[in-house]
Amino acid sequence: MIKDPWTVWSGPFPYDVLAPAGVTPNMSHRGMQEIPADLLPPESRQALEELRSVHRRLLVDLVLYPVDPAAELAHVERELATPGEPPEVAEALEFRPSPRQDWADELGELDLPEPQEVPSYAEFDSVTPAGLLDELIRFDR
Amino acid sequence: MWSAHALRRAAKAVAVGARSLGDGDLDAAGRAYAGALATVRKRIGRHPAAAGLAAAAHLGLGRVRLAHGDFFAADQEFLAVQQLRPHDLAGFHWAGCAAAHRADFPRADWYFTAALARDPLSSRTLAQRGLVRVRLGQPDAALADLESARQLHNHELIVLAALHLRRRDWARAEAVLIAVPPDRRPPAMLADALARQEKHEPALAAYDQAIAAGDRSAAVLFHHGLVAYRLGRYEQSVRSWTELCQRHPMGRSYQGLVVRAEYAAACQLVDAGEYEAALPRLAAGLTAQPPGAMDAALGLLRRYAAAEAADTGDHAGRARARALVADADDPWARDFLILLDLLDGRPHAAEHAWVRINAQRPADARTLYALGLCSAARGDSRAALTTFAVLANDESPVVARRSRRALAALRIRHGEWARAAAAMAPLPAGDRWRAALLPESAYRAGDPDRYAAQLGPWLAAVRAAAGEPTPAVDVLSGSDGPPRLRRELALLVRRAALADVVEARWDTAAELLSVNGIGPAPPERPELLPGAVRVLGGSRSDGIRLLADASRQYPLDRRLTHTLALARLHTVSAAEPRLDGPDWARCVATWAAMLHDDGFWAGVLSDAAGRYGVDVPDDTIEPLRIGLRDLLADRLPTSGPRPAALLFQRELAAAEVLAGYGGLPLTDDDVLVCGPLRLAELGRHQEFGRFAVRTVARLAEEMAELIGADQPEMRQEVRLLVAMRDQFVRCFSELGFAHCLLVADQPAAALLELADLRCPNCRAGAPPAAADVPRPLTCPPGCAGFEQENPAYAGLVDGREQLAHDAVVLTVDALGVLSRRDQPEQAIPALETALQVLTGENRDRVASWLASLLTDRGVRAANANMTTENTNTATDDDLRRAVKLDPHLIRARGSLCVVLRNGLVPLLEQGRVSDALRVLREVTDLLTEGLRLAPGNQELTRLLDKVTVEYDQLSEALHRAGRESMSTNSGGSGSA
Repeated sequence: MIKDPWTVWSGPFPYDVLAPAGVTPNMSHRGMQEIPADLLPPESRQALEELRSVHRRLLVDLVLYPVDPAAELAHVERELATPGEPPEVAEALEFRPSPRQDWADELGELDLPEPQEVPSYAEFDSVTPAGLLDELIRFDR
Repeated sequence: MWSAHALRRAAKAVAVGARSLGDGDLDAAGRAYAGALATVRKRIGRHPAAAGLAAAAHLGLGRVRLAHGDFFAADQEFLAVQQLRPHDLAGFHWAGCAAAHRADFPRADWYFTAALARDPLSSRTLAQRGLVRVRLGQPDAALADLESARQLHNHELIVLAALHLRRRDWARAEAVLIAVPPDRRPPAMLADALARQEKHEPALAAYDQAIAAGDRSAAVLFHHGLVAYRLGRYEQSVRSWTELCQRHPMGRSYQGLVVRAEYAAACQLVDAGEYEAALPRLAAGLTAQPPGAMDAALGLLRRYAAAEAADTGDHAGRARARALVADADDPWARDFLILLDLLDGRPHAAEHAWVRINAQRPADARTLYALGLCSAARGDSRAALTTFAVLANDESPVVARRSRRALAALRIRHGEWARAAAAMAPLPAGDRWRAALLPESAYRAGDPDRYAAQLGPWLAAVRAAAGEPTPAVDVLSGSDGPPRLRRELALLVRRAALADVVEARWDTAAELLSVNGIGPAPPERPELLPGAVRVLGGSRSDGIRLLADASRQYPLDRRLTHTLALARLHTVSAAEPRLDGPDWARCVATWAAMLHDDGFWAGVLSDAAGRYGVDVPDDTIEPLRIGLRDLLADRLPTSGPRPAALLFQRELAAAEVLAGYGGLPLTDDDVLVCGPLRLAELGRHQEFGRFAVRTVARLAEEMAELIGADQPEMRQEVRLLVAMRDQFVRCFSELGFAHCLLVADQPAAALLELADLRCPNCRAGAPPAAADVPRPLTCPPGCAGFEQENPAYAGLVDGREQLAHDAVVLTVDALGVLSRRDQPEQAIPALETALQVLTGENRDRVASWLASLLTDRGVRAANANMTTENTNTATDDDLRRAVKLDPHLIRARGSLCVVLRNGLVPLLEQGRVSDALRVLREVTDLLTEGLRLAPGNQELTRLLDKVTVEYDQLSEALHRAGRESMSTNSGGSGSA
């Protein structure tokens, strides 16, 4: 949790006052109770009293930004330490048909010769029927 | 005379003949022409028109003979025409036609040439000579004639196209054929012209058309198959050429074409990876090969087809795969069949099969590899590692590669990245698996110097981990890079950003946090931390904007709302001087959205319990809510026409009401709780309007049921429901301010709020409204601000009218409260406002009330004036207004008259007798009117008597003074 430097608070801000004693918003309620108040300077005791009450401490906490970079940092570190397993690992250890990209290697190269061009046939040079002109040549009457 | 008559008859007969010939009635035409000829024959040379008529009759008779097929007789007639009209084309043209019909083409050509000598542009003659020249075997000359003809019949155009095709002039042939109407055009000829120009697509369509029209000649079938072949549509080639083989007498000699097309189809399917479909095609396509020549290719394709069938992942696919390689006798097929067993759910059978083979052939590497996988599957990593380590150097490249992969995979599974890198390093550089995993393994091996050459794109991760995030940022800004690398880089950059946040290095933190894709995992909003960091880093408005935008997009994210509320509060409350304004409005809107939101408090308690390590009970909420509310309220500006404190009151009241109705449902399982300002900021006011309509309708139904029950004891409940509805609607509108003031026991202030219900823009933009404009003022139709400021009325057709109506009801309520107060000074302006809002009986009652209060104030002021001897016209104004508001109010009228009469003494002391008389006249009128309204009123009567006497005395004195003045006119002016 982060405090805004512009925070307006009536009196000294309790966490600021108790920071030298190691008090942070993440400290447990029990930890707060265990701080020896009699060892603190008088102005800090009131701040401690404020934070020892769950209700009053919550009010203080509610003016802090609800972000916790330290906790997020720890989370990121954990994520970095547990990268998980690349999917290829299971692939290499499982019985499964080879993936397509490996077929050339494992089944042999399937390399068929290119299809040939079609030869020409003199008898099919023209699609115009032989008798077409006889039908079409007509003289005027 | 006689001659002219005969000529007319002959001309008529020629016309009849031409008409009959056109109609096809050859006999009638013949008779008419013969008659005409008989009439004019003797007169040739004797009359100038006779020769022309005779020529026409001969020509007609010739055409009749020609039509009858009597070509020689026709020729005689045409000869006569030539003699009669030697310069005319017709005799020669038709003689050419007669010769052509007789197949005497040289003679026909002579006649047509003679005709063209007489008229070189005759289109018909050119066309006829062109056809004759085709017959004469002179294609070039024929082409020239046909092209010269301005107009050709369709059959002549097709002849011309055929001549072009014969000359292999494909483009001209296409152009000529396009000119023939589609239904008369031979499609095969057009297809040929197109195909020869390599316009294969339209050519194929034209051949399809030809075949559909029944042209299944060998040439058409061949060329159809050929064009399809060139387009890669081998199925069509196979179909056409198969038909060619069946229909052609020499069919078998074309079988090679079908085989060729089948082979090409197989190659095409193989290229597309459709091996199962390719298999029968290849079998058909290899029939021309010597037996056994292509067995290897077929066997290989069968493997591919089996692998493809197994790749479908279902039982049916594996059954097909098994059938495809069942007859094969090679190690690959054997392993493949065992694998299929395993995939079909028989792992033990598969392992037993491999154990059996291993017993027979202990050195068989494929079997050992399979057994290694069995060990790994059983969790016996040690045995598996040993097996794969040995096989990694097997002489079979396939076994060696797979074993290395398995070995490296086991190392990775155990987190031994350096050993994994070492295991996969010898794999070929192009190995897909190596390319995918070696760079990551090299990175995770933790020895970047040693593996520098293998790191590839993971070098960015090495540098980011070493504190140089720039290359990582570059990768993340693009879209390249494998997902695992992007994840690692995002985590590393986020770690660097978080470290900056912890150390309060806001600027660098903000920069890193803006990198695409490094946000936290859902449901955490990626905008939360960057927004807060920008606020903390001093770019407060940017940070708040970022948070507000995100909050608008995710209105139910409570941490986002809380962060935004804090950023706004800290920013505005630290500013000096503390000025009211829109920032405060947004601030209170955000806070009110949290204070009555159960979802927010649930998160707060759960978070606190986690941090404090103790249970935080629900009853902590109420004191906290009050504490936060007071904390905020203490800082709010309270001055101004509508201060933030009032905004906060209404926003809180609205949020509480909405919470009471369960909140505005935004998703299936979550609701929004807030006030109208926040609704407007989130752009949810129209959604709320629909919700409000449903809610009000539900309340109305409940009321109807209660009223229908007609039980007196239910009246209280009905009143309660009405109050609930009013509270709900008022809080989510401009009426909310008056409502809150009324609840806070400030009815006068509430009334003042009700005269102007316009949105801030309309208030700011418009000039002050004239006094006679009806109140309450509302936004004009179509004003977008109306629905934002009044979400309870959003979407209603008559929303503005309903708002005005509800304002009147609230005015009456406020007046009711006000009537129980003794605060005349405060009530007067409020009642003035109410007077503008109300009409009818309500208005009359308020007017009387106001008149009474004004009279009280006027009298009190008059008494004070008398003691201080001050004159104050405000006193008169109050009383005059009171008389105007309520003419029946005797007390006001009497007091006004007394006050006016009291003012006479100073006037007379100043010698202003005329003014004093005017005052007395006014008082007299007031009293006379009062007595008309209240006949016999003693107080008024008494006063009128006194005033009448005083008026008479003063008037008499004035007249007397006037007369004396006139009599002593020369003695100078006197004074009264």
